Amino acid sequence: MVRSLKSFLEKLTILLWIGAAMLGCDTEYLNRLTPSEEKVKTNQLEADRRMYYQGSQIRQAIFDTLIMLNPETEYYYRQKSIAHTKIGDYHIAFPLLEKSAELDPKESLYYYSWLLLYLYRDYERALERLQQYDDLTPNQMDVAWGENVDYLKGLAHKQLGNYPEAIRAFTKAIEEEGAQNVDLYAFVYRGIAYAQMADHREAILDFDQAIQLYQKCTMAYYYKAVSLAALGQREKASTFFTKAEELLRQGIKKTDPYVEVFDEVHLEMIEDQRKNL
Amino acid sequence: MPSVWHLLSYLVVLLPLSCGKSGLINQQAVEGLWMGGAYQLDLGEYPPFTKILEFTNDGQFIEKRAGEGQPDTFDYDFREYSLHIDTFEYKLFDLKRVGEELHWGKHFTRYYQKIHPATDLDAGQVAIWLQQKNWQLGPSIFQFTQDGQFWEATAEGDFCRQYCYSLETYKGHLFIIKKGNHLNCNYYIQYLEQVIEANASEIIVIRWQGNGFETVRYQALSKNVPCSSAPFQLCNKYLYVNYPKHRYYYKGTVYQGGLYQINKFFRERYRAPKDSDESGLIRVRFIVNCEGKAGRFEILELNNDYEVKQFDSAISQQILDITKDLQDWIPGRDNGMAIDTYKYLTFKIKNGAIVEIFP
Repeated sequence: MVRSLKSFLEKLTILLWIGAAMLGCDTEYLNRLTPSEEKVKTNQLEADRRMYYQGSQIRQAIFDTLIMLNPETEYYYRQKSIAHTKIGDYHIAFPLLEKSAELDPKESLYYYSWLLLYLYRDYERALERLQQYDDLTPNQMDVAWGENVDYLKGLAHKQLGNYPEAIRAFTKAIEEEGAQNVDLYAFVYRGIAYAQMADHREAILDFDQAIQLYQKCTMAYYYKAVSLAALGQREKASTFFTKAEELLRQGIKKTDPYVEVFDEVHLEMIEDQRKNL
Repeated sequence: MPSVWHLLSYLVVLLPLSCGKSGLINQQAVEGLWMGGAYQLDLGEYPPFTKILEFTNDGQFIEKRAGEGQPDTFDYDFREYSLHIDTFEYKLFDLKRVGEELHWGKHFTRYYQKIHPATDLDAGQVAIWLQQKNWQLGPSIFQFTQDGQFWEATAEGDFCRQYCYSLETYKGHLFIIKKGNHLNCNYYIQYLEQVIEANASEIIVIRWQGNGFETVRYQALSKNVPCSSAPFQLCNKYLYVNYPKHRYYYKGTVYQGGLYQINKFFRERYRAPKDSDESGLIRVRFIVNCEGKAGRFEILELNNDYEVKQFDSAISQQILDITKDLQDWIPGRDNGMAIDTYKYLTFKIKNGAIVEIFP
């Protein structure tokens, strides 16, 4: 009883302490600050929050105070959301991200539109937000979190099963950046979209293009093998499954620490495909 | 108008400050031996910290890791605003003497307790007493074995979890070092208890527990309590969900065959209820321990607008049960050592059916 009371009081104290930055503060105190005092307090808290790791409750509490002091600053909502998204607390992160998009779409959507696709797998919302972001700068190639927006739209369409739209979006990304500069997975994923439409010849052309750009493109070898098998070219398919398998056994494949990449290849997939050859 | 909570917060913050020496800490306040207890990782999160420190009155700082070889000795001196140890400088603002405790560091504060003067307890005799009987400490029951292991059940009838221990005498003071896990006594987790009194029926120790130091009594039980080993045990009992290094992506916790195999597993087992109109997301979070076993499952159910909702249990319970049956987890690693991590799977549900599993 004493211990739990102590723990409760301790948490309460630290929250108040951080929330108000020093002794004897509360939300009323924050409301009484002059604009220049608010700026000083913001700078103090900015420095303080950097001392804590992403996800720390102390850091998150500092963000709460920063938001109270700067309710129109998009950055604090987005920053606070990150740790929650990463551990699957979507219900906490999502309202923060929506608020950030409302306050400053350009800053927010650079991250948020990309995030909706990869971490939320919310393809309808991702397409909506990618389009909104794209429309902010018409006639300009846009990039969200480092990736071509049309490429990202292609992925969202592909995941929704809208293969013709996916192919158009990947093609646009390739045309915008050029075959040598575009993310080579624009070819791989366009190939997968063609394959889904049973257009295996077009698919293979794309997989070959990807392999030409990167000779260790495990995903291109695997999906090329699948298309070859679908065309009845079993021996050739087997060769490419073997190539994909060799690369996988060396640990070479497109992967990401936070999520499984779309259409990620696993050894078990090859084993299962071989059974059907 | 200040609330009750507000006044309480003043009290809790101001009390420790008023108990400590006014102004900056000085040499007199730190002289002596200190036992490490824990450091603050976050609100209410205190992983153990087991260094033993000594500030001698002739300017020597002696630092010893519990259970490990010889201590390291450095020179120290107090200056106007800083403490210098060897080539390191520490701000005096970041050191506080609070009663019999030393709090060190503004961020991730380390907590030390002044070592109790009790000396000359016989480690061999205490070991014999520990091993002879079962011991009760609060709700927990302990069994110490001769081969340096101990079993802990957090309540009578609960499963037992297995750890290791050793006894160490340092400068005449006796410590129980609890460490390791059910697989490895040398696993990096360990914590200290200073024995201040002992006899065949009672052993009194000072230790860090939860969020502070405490003096507690192990009491010998008249009979041994049977216990069976826990089906799931953390390798690191201090795993913390908000700490990035304890999350799946930091160390690469994966399922053998990835989402491809997980999807296959669910396709073979999951049966969507007929005529269901339920849609949204079900996230199942759990821990994959260093053996690759999954446990500590928790479920979150959301609608398509990411608001908390409750699914028909024919959907949510089924998903939870099938997730528990996934057995081919590959634990994350840290410097080559398998570790525990938090992991989660999210199930996108449309009309009762699973349409996608991620991330």
